[in-house]
Amino acid sequence: MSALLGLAGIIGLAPVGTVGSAAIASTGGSAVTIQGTGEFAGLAVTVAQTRNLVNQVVSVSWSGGKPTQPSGAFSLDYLQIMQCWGYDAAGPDRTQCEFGGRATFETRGGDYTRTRQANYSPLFDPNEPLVPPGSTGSVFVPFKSVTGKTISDNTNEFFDANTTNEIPFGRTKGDGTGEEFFEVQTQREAPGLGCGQILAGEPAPRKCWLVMVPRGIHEVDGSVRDTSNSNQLISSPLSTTNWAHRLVVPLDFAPVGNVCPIGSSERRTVGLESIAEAVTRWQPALCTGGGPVYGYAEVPDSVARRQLLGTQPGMVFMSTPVDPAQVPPTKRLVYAPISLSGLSLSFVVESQSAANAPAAIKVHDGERLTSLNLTPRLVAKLLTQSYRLAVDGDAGYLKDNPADMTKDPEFLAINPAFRQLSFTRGIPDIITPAGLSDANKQLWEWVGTDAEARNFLAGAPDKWGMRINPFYQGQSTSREDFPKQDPYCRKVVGAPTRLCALDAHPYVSDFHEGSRAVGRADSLGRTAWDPLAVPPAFKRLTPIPGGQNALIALTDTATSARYGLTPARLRNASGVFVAPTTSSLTAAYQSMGPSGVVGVIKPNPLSRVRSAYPLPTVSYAVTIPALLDARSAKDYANLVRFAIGKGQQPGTDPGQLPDGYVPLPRSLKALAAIKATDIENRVTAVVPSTTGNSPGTGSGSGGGGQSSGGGGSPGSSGGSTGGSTTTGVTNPTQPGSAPKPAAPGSSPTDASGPRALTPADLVGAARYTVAFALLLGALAAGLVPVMRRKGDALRPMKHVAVQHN
Amino acid sequence: MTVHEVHPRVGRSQPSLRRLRSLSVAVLVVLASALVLPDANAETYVPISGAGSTWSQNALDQWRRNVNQYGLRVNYQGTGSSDGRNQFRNGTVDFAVTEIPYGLKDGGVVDQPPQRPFAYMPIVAGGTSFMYNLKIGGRRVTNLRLSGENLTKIFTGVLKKWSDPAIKADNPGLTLPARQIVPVVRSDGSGTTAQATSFFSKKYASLWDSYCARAGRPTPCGSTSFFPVIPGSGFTAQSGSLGVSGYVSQGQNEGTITYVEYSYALNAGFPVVKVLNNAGYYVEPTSNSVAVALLAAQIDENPSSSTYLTPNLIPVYNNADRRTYPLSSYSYMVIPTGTTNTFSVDKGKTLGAFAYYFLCEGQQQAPVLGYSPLPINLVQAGLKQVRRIPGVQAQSIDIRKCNNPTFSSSGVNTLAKTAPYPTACDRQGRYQCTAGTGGAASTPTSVNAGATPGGTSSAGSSGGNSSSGGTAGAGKSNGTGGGGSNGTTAGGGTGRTGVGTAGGTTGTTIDPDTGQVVQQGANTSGGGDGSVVAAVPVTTDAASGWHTQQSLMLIAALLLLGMVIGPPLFARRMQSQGGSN
Repeated sequence: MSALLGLAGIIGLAPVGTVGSAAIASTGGSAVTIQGTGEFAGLAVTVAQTRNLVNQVVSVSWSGGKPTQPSGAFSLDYLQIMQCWGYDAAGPDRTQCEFGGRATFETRGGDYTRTRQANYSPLFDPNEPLVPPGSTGSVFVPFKSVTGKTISDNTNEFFDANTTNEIPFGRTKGDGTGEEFFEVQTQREAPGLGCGQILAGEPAPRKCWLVMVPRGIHEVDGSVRDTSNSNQLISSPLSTTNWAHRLVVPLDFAPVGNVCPIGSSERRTVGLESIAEAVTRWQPALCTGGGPVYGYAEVPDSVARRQLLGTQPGMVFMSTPVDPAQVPPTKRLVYAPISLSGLSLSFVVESQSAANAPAAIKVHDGERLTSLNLTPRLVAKLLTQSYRLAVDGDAGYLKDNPADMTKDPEFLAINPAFRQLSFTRGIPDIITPAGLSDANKQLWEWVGTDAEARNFLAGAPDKWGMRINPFYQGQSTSREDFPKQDPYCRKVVGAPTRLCALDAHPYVSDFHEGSRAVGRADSLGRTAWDPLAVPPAFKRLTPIPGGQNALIALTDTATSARYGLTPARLRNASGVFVAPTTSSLTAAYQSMGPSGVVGVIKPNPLSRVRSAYPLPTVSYAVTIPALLDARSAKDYANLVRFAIGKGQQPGTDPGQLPDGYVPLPRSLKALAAIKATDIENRVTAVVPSTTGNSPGTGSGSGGGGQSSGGGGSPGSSGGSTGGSTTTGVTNPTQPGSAPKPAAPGSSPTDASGPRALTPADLVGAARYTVAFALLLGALAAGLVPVMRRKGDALRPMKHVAVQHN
Repeated sequence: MTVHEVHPRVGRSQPSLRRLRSLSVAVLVVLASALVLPDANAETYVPISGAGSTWSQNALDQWRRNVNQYGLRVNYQGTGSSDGRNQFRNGTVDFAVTEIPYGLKDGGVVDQPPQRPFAYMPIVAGGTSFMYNLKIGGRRVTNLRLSGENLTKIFTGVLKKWSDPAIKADNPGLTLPARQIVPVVRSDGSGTTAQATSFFSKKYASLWDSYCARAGRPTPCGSTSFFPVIPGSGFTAQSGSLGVSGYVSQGQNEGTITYVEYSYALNAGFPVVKVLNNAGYYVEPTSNSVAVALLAAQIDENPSSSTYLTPNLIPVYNNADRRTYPLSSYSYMVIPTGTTNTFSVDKGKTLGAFAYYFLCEGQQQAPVLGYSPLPINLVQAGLKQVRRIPGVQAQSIDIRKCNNPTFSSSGVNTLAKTAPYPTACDRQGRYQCTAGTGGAASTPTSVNAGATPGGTSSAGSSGGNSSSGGTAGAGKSNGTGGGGSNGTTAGGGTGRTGVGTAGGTTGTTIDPDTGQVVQQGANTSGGGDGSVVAAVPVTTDAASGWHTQQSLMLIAALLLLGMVIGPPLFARRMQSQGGSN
C-alpha cells in the first residue's frame, strides 16, 4: 500500500518548474531515476532505495554526465549531493538542506563550492536575492531547521564536519557515469531535518528529500570556467542560479525506532569484535516491552577468557573455545552459537589507468573495482613488509622485490584487470589491528596451510624471484599478531628523528577503525615532516584524492559491509578463489571440524570443499551457568534465544541481522536453544556423556598413550602454541597429535562434526581417561621387562628406549 | 590517532549477501511498519561530537557504542589531548577529553583556556603503565619491577643499560641483560605524557629539571604534554598510544619501554612494570590498585577555581596504602556550560544523558577494559558538573540509582574495600614474584634461586599454583620428548621435576646481543613468540585450590615420569641381571 503511494508521489512530481524532474523509471524495489534539465538534460541519476529508509548507505549513481575535470580534483563537472527536509510537494527550499558542514575541513574544489556562502567577489550571482548589489561581508544561505530555528551563520548547531552526510564532490568518470554512497540520516543523526520522525496524528513518519545539484563549466554569471586554480568553479550549490539546476528525489522513511530507557542497569557482555555489529543492532530490540538492557564491550580474546574463568563470568562472546586444560573441572562452560560470519580482507580500489593504457581502460578511471583475488602467499607478502613500498623505496635488501602488490607478477597472473593500472601509492600492505587476537591467529593459520606461502615465509623465492623481507624470514604462522619488524628508518630532511615503519604504516585499534580508514581513503600514515606543528612532527598524509583509493584492511564481513567495503576473494585449499557470501560461508560452516570442545567447531582451512570460503567465524555466547544468579541466567538465556530467533532475520530494522552475517544454520540454532535452557537452568551437574562420548574416550586414551611414544614429529615444528591442534583436526589418525595428552578433562574431541547436539559439555568420567591411559601405559611399561625376563626374543636396548621415550 | 564515528548501516553495497533476501524482506518490513506503530519511548537526542585523549579512548569507544541503544549518537576522535583542547577552544567540537587542564605552560607556550564557558568533569580512572619488551636468554620477562626513581632515571636518560645495578636492586630475582634501554615516548601532544611527566617532576624534580635543561626547555619544567627529546639520546618518539605500544611490541625492539594506558598493554599482550609505592610494595596498575590509590586524590573542590575538579595527584603518588599504584589518575571531559559556538540545549540534553550514563552504568565496564571505575567522590563531583550543562535533564540524574561498581548505595567504596593486598614476594627486598603482568599475566617469569620466599626454584612455584601450567608444559614435552632432547616439563603439575631434568640437556649459551650468559633452559624455538617463557597459562582464579584435577595431574605426571624413567632403568637392571645369569 505505502509502496503504491510512494510511486504516486514520485509521478506527481514530474511536471514541477525548473526542477530537474520526471521519474523515468522505477528500476525494481524503490529505486528512482531522475533526469536533468537544460545543460544537464543528458544526466540521469538513480537513487537505489527511496522507501522505508533507516540510517543506512544508499547508492546514488548517474550516467550521461560530463567527466569531472581534472581527474582527481574538482574544478568542473561534478555532482553535489545533500539531504533536505520540506513539506512542499515540489521539493525542498535551499534553506532546508544539510550542506556546508565540511566547509572548513574540505580542501577540494573552488573556494565556496563546499559552503553555504552566497556572495563572491568579483563573481556575482545576478539571480541571488540574498545579496544586494554592492554589499560587503559574507552572506550565507540560512539553514532553517525542522525544529523552527533559522541560522544565518556558516556553522550551526545541527550539523558539522563530523556529522554531516553531504557529498560536496561527486565524481563523474570518463564514461559519463558516477556513483557515490550516500549516508541517509534519520532524525537521530540529523535532528535539523527530522526525517523518519513520528508525527502526531500523521499516519506516516516525516518524509525527506535527496537533492543533487549538477555542476558544469558555467559560473553563476554565465562565464565559462576552466581547470586552472584561478578560474575554476567557485560558487556554492545553494546559490540561486546553481540551485535552479537541482534534481530532487523524495525519500520515505521507516519510523525512527524505539530506544531503551536510559538509566537502566545493563546486563553486561564482553567479547570479540565480529559480533559487534549484530549486538549493536539487537540491543534496542532486546529492551522493548520492558526487557533487560544489555551492555557490550569489545575486549581482547585473552581478556574475555580471563573474565570467563574468573568469579563473575557474565556472558562472553568468542569464536575459539577456552583450552579445556585451563578449565577447572568444577567449572562447566556452556557454548551457544549465535552468529555466522567471516573474516575478510576488504578493499576499496578505484581504477587508475597506467599512462599508456588504452582509452577503453582510461574511461573507467575512478571506478571501484569489484573483485580482487588473493592467495595465501600474496597475503604473506603483504603481512611481512616484503613489497618495497611497505618499507621504503630505498631499502636495498628489497630492491629485487616488486614495489607493491599491483606490480607483482603473481598478483597480475590472477588479477589480469590490474595489468593496465598503476596506483600512486600502490598496495604494499594490509591495514591490520594492533595486539593479539584469535582472528589474527585464524588468518595466519590459513596462510600456513598453503605450501607456497610456507615456503615463501621460510625464505624460498616465488617463481618470479620475489623473496620475503629478510627481517621476517622463518617467521612462524603460529601467531596472533602482525609484527612490523623491519627496522628501516628514513632520514627526512629537516626532521630530527627518522621516519620508521610505524609512522608510515601504523596499526589500527580494531576492525572498525581499519574499515573506516579504507572507506575514507585514509592510509593513516604519517610521512611528511611538518616543522610548523607544535611540536614539529610527522603529519598525517591527507586522504588519498577522490578516485584514487587503493587500500585493504583485515576486518570481519559485518564490519566490512557496514563501511561499504568489498571483500577480496581468497584462494581456498581446492585452489578456488572464493568471496564471503551466504553460500560460501555456509559451505565453510559445513566443512568446519571439531575444536577439542564438544559442541564447538573450528574453521578448517584445509577443507577441500570447492565452494567454501576459507575464513568463516562461528561466534559463541559463553558462560558458566552455575556462577550466575537466577535473574542474570534468565537474561543471558533470553539474549541467546533472541539472537537465534528474530536476531537471525536479515534486515535493517532494530533487532534484525545486519548485512555481512549469514543466518545461523538450523542445526546451530537447535544447539543454541538447548544451551539457552542450560543457561537458564543454571546447570551445574556434569551431564553424563551420551554415546557421542565413546569416540572421545577413544581418542583421548589414544592420544595419551601415544604421547610417550610418537610425539617426536610434531615437536619439531617448534611452535609454542597450538599448531598441533590443526594437525589433530585434519589428520585425526596421526599419532601423537593429540595436543594435551596429560590434561585431564581435555580428552574427548567431538568427532560428530558441526551438527553435534551432545548436550554435555564434556568432562565427566572422561576426565579420568588420561590417568587411566597412563596407568595402563605404566602397567604395560612395567610388563615389558617382565615379559623380557620371560625370555622372549631379546631385543637391543635401544628399541626399548625409543619405544618409551 | 584513532577516529571513530557513529556509522550508518550499509544498505546496498554488498549485493552478494543481500540481494536474494532484500525483496521479500522489504515487502515484509513495509507491511510491518505500516501496521505496527511504535510505542512511545521515542526519546530523541541530537548527535554530539568530541575529540581528544587516546588514554581514555578505549573506554569512550565502548560507551559510545552502547548508548546507541538509548538513541544517543556520540562521535569521538582520539586525536590526542592537546588537539582535543584546541578543537574545543576553537568551537569545532562539543566536548574534549584530556588529562591536563588548560592554562599549563608547555615548552614556553601557554595553552590558553577557551573563551566559551566550560568545566571539567572526571570520566574514567586508570593507571599510566610502563609497558616493556625485555628478554632474558630469549625468554620474555613479565615480572619487572622498578622504583619511581629508576623510572624517572630511565626516562631522563640517566640509566642506560638494563643490567644497571640500580635496576638489579629492584629485581633481585632477575639477571637482566647488558642491553641498551630504549625509552619510547609520544611524539604528539598527549595527556599520557603529561601524566608520566607530572609524576617525574613532582617526585623527582631535580632529575627531571636537569633533563629538561639538557633538552633545552626552561626549568623548572613541570609536567608537559610534549615529551622533550634530546636528539641522538637513544629515545624513540612515536605517535599515539597505538604507536608507542605497537613499537614496543615488535620482536626486534627488545630493550624498549614506554608509558601508555594499561588497556593498551592488555591488548598488546605485553607486561607492565610493577611500580614501587610508598609502602614498599611493587604494584601493577590494576583497577583495584588504581581505585585504592585515588582514595588519596585531592580534588580541587573550589567551584570558582579555574582547575575545579582537576586533581592534585601528589597524595596519590605518596599514598601509603600498600595496594597503591602510584601513577594513578583519571581523564576528564571539558564540557560547555553555556550555549556558545554551536552548542545548543538540545546538544546539552544529549551530553548530559551520555555523561550520566558513563559516570554510572558505564563504569561497570571499566575493569575489563583495563581502567578503574571512578570512586564515589569523583562521581558525585562529576554529576554536579553534569547539572551545569545547558539543556540537561537534571531530574533524571540520581546518584542513588547510579550503578557504579566502586560504591554501594550507602556510598561505601566497595572496590577499595575488597581490593586484595599484594603478596609477600611483591615487597621490596630479596624476593620477587614470578607472576606475569598486564597482557602477559598468564606468562610467569622464573626468578633466580633465593628470590622466592620458599627458597625453591621459581618453576616450582609457578607450576604449583597452576593446574594448567603442568598441562601446557606436558603438551610441549611431547615434541621435545620425542626428539630425545629432554624431558623438561613432562612432569606436568610438578614444574620442579621438569627443571631438574632440563638442566642436563640445555647447555650454557651466550646471547649474541648482550654477550651475557643465557639462563639455562632457554628454549628459543622458532621465531617470534617461541620465546614465551614457559607457555604456561595460569588461571587467574586464585581461589582455586587443590582439586581432584590437580591430584589427577600429579598422579598422571608421576606415572608419565615413571613410564619415561622406569622402563630403561628396570630393563637395564634386568639386563645386567640377565647378564650375570
